[in-house]
Amino acid sequence: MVATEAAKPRAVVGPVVAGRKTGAGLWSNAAYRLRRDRVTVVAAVGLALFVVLAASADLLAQSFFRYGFTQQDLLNTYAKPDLQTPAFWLGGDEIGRSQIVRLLFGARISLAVGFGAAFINLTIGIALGLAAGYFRGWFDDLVQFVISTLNSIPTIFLLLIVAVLFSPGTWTLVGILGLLSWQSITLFVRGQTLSLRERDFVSAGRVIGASHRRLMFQHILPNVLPLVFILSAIDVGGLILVESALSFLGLGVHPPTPSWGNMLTNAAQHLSRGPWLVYGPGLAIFSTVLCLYLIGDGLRDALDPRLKQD
Amino acid sequence: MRLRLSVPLRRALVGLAIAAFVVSACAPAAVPPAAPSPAKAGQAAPAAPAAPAGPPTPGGRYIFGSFSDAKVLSPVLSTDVPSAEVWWRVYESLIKVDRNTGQPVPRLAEKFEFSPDGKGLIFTLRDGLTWSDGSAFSGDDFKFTAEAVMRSKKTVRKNIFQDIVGAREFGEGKADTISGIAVDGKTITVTLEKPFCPALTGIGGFGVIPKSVFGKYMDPRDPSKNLDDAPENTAPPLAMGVFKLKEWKPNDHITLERNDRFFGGKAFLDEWVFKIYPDATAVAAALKTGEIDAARVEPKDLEELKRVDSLNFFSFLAPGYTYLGWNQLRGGKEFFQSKEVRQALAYGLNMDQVIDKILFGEGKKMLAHTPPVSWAYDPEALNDYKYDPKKAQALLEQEGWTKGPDGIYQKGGQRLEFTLITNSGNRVRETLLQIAAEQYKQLGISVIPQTESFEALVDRLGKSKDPKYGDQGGHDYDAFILGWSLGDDPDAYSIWHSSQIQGGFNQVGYKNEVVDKALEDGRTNCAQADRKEAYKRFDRQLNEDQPYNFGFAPNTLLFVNKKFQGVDPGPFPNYYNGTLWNVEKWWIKQ
Amino acid sequence: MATFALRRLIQAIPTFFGITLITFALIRLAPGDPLSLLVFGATDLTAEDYAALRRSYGLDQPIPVQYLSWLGRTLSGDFGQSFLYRRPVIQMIAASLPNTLQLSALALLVAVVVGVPLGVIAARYRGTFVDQLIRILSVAGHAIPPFWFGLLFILVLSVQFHLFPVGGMLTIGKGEWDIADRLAHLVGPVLTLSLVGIANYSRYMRTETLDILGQDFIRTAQAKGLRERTVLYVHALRNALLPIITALGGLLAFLISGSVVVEQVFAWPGMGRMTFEAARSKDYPIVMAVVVISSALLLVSYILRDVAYGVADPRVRRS
Repeated sequence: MVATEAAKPRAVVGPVVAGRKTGAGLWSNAAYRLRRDRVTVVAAVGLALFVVLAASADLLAQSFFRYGFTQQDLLNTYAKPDLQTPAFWLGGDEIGRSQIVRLLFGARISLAVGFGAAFINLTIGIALGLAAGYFRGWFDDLVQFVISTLNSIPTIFLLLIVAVLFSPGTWTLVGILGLLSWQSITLFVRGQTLSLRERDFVSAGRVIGASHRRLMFQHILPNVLPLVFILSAIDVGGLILVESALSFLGLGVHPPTPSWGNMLTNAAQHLSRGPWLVYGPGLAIFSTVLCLYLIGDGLRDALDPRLKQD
Repeated sequence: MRLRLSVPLRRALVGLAIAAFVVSACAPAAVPPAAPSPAKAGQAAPAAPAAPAGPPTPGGRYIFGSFSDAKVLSPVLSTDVPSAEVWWRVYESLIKVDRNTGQPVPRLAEKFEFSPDGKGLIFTLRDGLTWSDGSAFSGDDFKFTAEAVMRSKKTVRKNIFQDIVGAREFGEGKADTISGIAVDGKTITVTLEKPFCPALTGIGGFGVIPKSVFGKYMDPRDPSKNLDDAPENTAPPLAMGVFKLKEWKPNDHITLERNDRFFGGKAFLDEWVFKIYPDATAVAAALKTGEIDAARVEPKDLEELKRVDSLNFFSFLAPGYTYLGWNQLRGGKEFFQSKEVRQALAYGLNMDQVIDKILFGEGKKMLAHTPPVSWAYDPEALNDYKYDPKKAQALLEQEGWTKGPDGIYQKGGQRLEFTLITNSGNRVRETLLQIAAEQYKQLGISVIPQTESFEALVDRLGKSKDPKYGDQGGHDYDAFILGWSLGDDPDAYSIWHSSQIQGGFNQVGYKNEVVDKALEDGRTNCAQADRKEAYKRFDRQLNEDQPYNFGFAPNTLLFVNKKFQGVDPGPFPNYYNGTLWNVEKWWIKQ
Repeated sequence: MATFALRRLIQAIPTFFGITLITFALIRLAPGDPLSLLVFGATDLTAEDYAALRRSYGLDQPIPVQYLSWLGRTLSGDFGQSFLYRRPVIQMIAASLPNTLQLSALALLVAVVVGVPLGVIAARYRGTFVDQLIRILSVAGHAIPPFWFGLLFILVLSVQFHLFPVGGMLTIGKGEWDIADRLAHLVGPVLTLSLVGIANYSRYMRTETLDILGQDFIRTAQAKGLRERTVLYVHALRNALLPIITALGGLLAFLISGSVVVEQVFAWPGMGRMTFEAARSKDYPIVMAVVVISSALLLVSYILRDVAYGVADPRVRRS
């Protein structure tokens, strides 16, 4: 759904387990547990597959499907799925373009939008959250103020205004999504930092005269980071959904650049003539978001086994 | 919250959830397509009015579906089609235009004349005209309407009245009445400062508002007073038309009820409802379920709706077209100034195929500006620019363009490449954009497709300046796809006259003396034969020069429930009246 | 308690000003002229006419002046006139806000009424097929694009099977208070809007219930010989009240956001659809008023939540 705050499964993670001095042991433990968690592995493999397919879209389009993503065939519109012709495995659209090739390129755009925006909000969130939690004082107040202000404006209205008024291209859209969705990560990092900075191993560091930078980046950050990744896996899924909703409102990635969101919206328009067009983008969004949520889930279990009660 | 899923469960989850999705997504397609009913096979052309069986029965309601709400129910203030579609049911004008030819016909005025010098208009009102409350309609209402427009600060209609003698002076407060409008009993005489042929349909076809209602907002001696913020603009209490306003729920529906005092005899229908949906697909769905009785639809929904037995289908050419405009005042893209390049762009795009595939045949290739449905249209000696990529390439090569290693033409180090923009959200235009980019690429012309919001595009067309040609009126774009929705009169001065490059709608910077002269003649020599000859010269020159690829004129695709008798639509005036010109005669057959 | 509430209220004041500043800045700094759409198609409009139009909308003033005068009018409850609809914005909001609240409140209700028991049931039967099914639905509820769910709902249930209307709030000709008709129109949008809420609450309640079931006082209650169902529903649920309240604030924000898409899909004449249409046509006064009003609503709901929380858990007040 459009809102980011409540839309995604709320990965409220308990306090970081005390006593872990560095991330190393945590990571290796986690990796071990992850390997045993087959669903997460499957989800991760699924996601990796999407990423690989997206990355090799050009190659596949040229050498295997032999059909460009803007290539059209007006004499063959609404082509039904046809197993004989690879380019039309999933059928063709209203101007005779290959659905499967467009899905591959759409994967590139949708994933780039999701991961790109998540990268931006992660960067902002970690930087602000770490600084606010560590230094506290006026800076913390300011960050808190900005967050509570932004959180009080329904996200969709901000997105609507920005998307309508600035009519962004794909990369601007990534920036906008990133710039409007960093609040929850910041709050989380800030909270973690606040509690970590009072822990023994940080205090000890402070006593022996470690610099702020060292304390923040070598003592606190490694403990916060793993949990942030859980949040951001879910975040990426949420952002892909947001792009699709914006596309539905005509404000997402603009055609002819294919994104799963605008392909799905387009398919909905042509449902009476090309019903098969809806499966690809719909399934792609659904399964990618599902993979991301499952990975977020599995990561949390793996990183914090104490939370696994039953 | 802690989300945990056990391993087997999660495996099940992935399978099941996906299955659920596929099943639900399949459902709409699972219904077997009905065979097209033979009864409807021959209905591509406008259906003849159904011969009314038995005497008309009064009563019932007509629900029209639209994907855009009306904004303001005032002829003075409205700028959009949905608003006009509604207020034209409430207000009337002195004359109308014939739904099939666009020629003026009587309405509130039973007679009208244009003086031979093109400067005087005389209207004679019908007898016994009354507003819906029984008060008399008079020429003063008409005069008041003109005055209200001239004093309004939020109208965009001043151009219609400002050439009347004394209109500007009144607007500025230098006079307390418009001296060029004289009302004498049933006779209204309008005097223009200079000959202006389109004034007949412009002034005579303007919706008249009641002085008794809006008079209180104006003061002849105080030009700062106007009716801009009058609440009656959104809730007209009086009507002259077939219906009057009953209720308006914004973004949901507008209900009009019968005006028993309509001068053409009271309508059979009780109510006329304008119901709002978010988009064309929803409108089509509502047509299918019978939630609405009628709507204009997009070509993509045509096939499915034709299969609905309860609907009559009407299709007729609309006065307007979708085109590709080539900016001749664009620094770095001077190749658009070459007629041969523009002709190559005309030969190189398979417009017949576009019409066949995008409009499903419901449209016509445009060769010049004047709409084929207009009385001023003359196809004689217009080149049809039949799709011929070889000829297009020959034209380019003859101009010295040669194909580079990347398959794109180049000349003197410059590639034949440009950006083509259209507004997002208009599917037909977006699709045309993608097709044009691909077909031109095959030809050896590189087109970068781009979409932006309508507002941004409008801004760019009207306000931006090209770095090199900005002073001459050049704007900041290479080429664009947009459409014209044309008025009743063939006058195209504001679009094609060279004086309209700066600040007008000649957004491609086209300048030609033959066209300028023809357009001036069309405005000043008001005999219809003369005007027709002028627009023939104009169209021939445009056809030769191809300042646009004139694209296509789409058909209006209208569905009306079969139970409505007497429906007999035509293309004029655009949209709102061509369908409903005789709505008072419609009735429902049970 | 009163001082706590007051303190929260005072804290909200700068936030409110922040909201107005962000809203105004975003809208007025955007490229494009709000009047360009209005005058599009008006041939022969002179530069003077255009300047007069700008003046009449107050667009010729410097931006800071425009902000202050807008803020002043906003605070006194005057949201101005819609550019396009030419009627007072407050009148348009008064007509559409109740429709949105109707939708949101019902969606919230459905989310709680369906989601909470689902979560408790899942916890009660943890590890069984029932538990798994509930979890499946909940993850799927998050991963399906809601507009898509809504479109499918319409295509399958409305268009193919004629079970529900395609859109709108009432059937033309039926009265405002025709409850059956209204309910038929509500099913689609409420269901679509509540999907994520149901998913959230069921997952939330499952973990909360599991936590509480493991706590001492429940064990004590069980040891006292109370029936399991009583223990579960009375004790566990009462203790889960706090998190339900916490989640409400965020969910309201979400529902207001979600209403834009859902209202658009189902042609619901609410504030979300109005705002979307207004934003699309750069009808600034409407967009600004809606953002300010909905943000103020959210602020109030956050304050109420915190106060309710304070009532339920006295420790909060001291912090």
